[in-house]
Amino acid sequence: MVDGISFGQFYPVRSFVHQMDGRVKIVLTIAFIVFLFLATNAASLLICAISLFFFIAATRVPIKTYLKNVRAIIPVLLITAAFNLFYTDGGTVLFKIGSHISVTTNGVQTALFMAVRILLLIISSAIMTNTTSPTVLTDSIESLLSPLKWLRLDIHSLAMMMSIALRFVPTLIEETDKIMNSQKARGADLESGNLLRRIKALLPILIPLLISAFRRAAELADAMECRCYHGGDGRTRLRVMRLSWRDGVAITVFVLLLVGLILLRRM
Amino acid sequence: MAFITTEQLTYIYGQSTPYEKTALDHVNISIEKGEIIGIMGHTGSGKSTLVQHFNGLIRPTSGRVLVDGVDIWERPKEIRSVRFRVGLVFQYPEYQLFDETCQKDIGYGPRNMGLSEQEIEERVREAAERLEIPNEILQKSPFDLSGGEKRRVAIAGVLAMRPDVLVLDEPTAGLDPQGRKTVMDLIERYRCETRAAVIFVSHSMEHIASIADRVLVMNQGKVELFDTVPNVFSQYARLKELGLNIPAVTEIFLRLKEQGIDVGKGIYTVDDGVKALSQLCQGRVHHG
Ligand SMILES: Nc1ncnc2c1ncn2[C@@H]1O[C@H](COP(=O)(O)OP(=O)(O)O)[C@@H](O)[C@H]1O
Ligand SMILES: [Mg+2]
Repeated sequence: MVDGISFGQFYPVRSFVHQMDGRVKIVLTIAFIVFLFLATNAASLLICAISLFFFIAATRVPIKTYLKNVRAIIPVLLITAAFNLFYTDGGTVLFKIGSHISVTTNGVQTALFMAVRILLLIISSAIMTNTTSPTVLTDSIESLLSPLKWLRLDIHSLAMMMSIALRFVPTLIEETDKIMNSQKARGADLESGNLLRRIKALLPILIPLLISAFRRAAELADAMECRCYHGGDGRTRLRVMRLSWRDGVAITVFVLLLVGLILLRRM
Repeated sequence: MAFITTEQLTYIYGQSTPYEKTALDHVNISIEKGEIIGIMGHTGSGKSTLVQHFNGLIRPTSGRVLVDGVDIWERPKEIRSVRFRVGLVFQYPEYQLFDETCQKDIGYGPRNMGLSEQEIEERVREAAERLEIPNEILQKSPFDLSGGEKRRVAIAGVLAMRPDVLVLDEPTAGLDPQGRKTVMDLIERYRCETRAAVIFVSHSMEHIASIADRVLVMNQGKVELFDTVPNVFSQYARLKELGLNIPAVTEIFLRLKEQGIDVGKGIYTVDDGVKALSQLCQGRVHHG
């Protein structure tokens, strides 16, 4: 089984956050990331974390899923923290490693803050992708980017390409799985040997996969043409996106959070 | 002694996710050497999941799979040797073709077994012969073949490993009548010539009735029936309930019987039908 590509996979349940408008979720996620970098003291990071916690609770996605998402970025987290720890000067020196590198109180603080920020950032984007289906996500991006049409950018085609790509990710994973299994059934050995041998062992999987991807692309293009697809002009939507009271509530929470952050910065 | 045995075999897809699905539910079957087993069942009844357990592509959630009396997961590192003994042909196997020529592609399995070039060539030739693949096709790229030819090359790729058990998942799906006949003939001949067991999944009651010794009927991950052809196809009502069918000839003769024409029981193939009818005609001549 192909596994571990599950980061931020859509988790299909009904919840407050699932039913929010996709565009609002995208904007609020970006706003939250900005807030994280506005938060320069412990108290402000704490209120960010608390509000995030309320949103997690409102998704009805098990905590385990979020933990899995977090686990995937632990290496990045550690490396960033280590750099901040060793390369921040100022404050009192706690101890020295060799003659050049010293660990200071400032360093410890920056490293901790950075780690918490990245953690919250990952969790907030996971909330968005766990609760928004890929289709809604691309529709929302298209809608948010639509003002750029005035710059003569073809936003519709971009969004269409993106949604097709996203749509085919699971199909390709399934196909990879199937081809891998067929070759394993003929005794393919993917797990042993040196690097060169392993790369060579992948060819019997990659070649059929590529060929079928091209075939699919050609078939899809034909099918779209048969249904008279001719770009975005004059196309209407099956699902019209509308704001609801939930979006109002979420936006209010964010405004309050912003006010809180500004007040804490003053202090 | 049974060659393949499953004990309380259970498999759950996506365990502890919202997509959780029990595909196999305490399956206990055993299959002897030299038998031909037909597997049938509704789409989603777990047929493909079951056959992928026989060669260790899927590891059971619980329960065991024994090949030749040995639990195949006893030594997970050596699972590859099980795959050479139990040859599995996937549904639509033509998508697994990858090499420059059909000859090389068919030789992929034997090469993975670590055989000598001479032995590989010998096996490729034998497998190609069994599937009536002419020499000029062997030298072609697999991507230049027709659908039916690709299917035959793909099946040959598994046969070339000379498995003790040949497992085919819907081998005739999407083939024309000639192609279906080739595959059915192959199954019978392979069994006759090598005394291997053959297990095949099919939606064609006619195919199953004409060559299988026993029929396994799956329903929602459970074994519904596992018995000889007459014993399974006589349970007309039960099969109908499961959304399955009986061979068309059998149905015709059942109807004849309802009309009061005594044609005897146990007619599952067209040949049986012809015999029964000619007997009936002779009977009429004597009476008349
Ligand atoms: N890779 C998979 N992931 C999740 N569920 C699966 C997967 N493959 C099959 N299933 C589910 O398991 C059940 C049995 O499937 P399968 O063995 O393919 O049935 P069959 O071959 O009889 O049509 C089905 O309900 C199917 O939806
Ligand atoms: Mg199947």
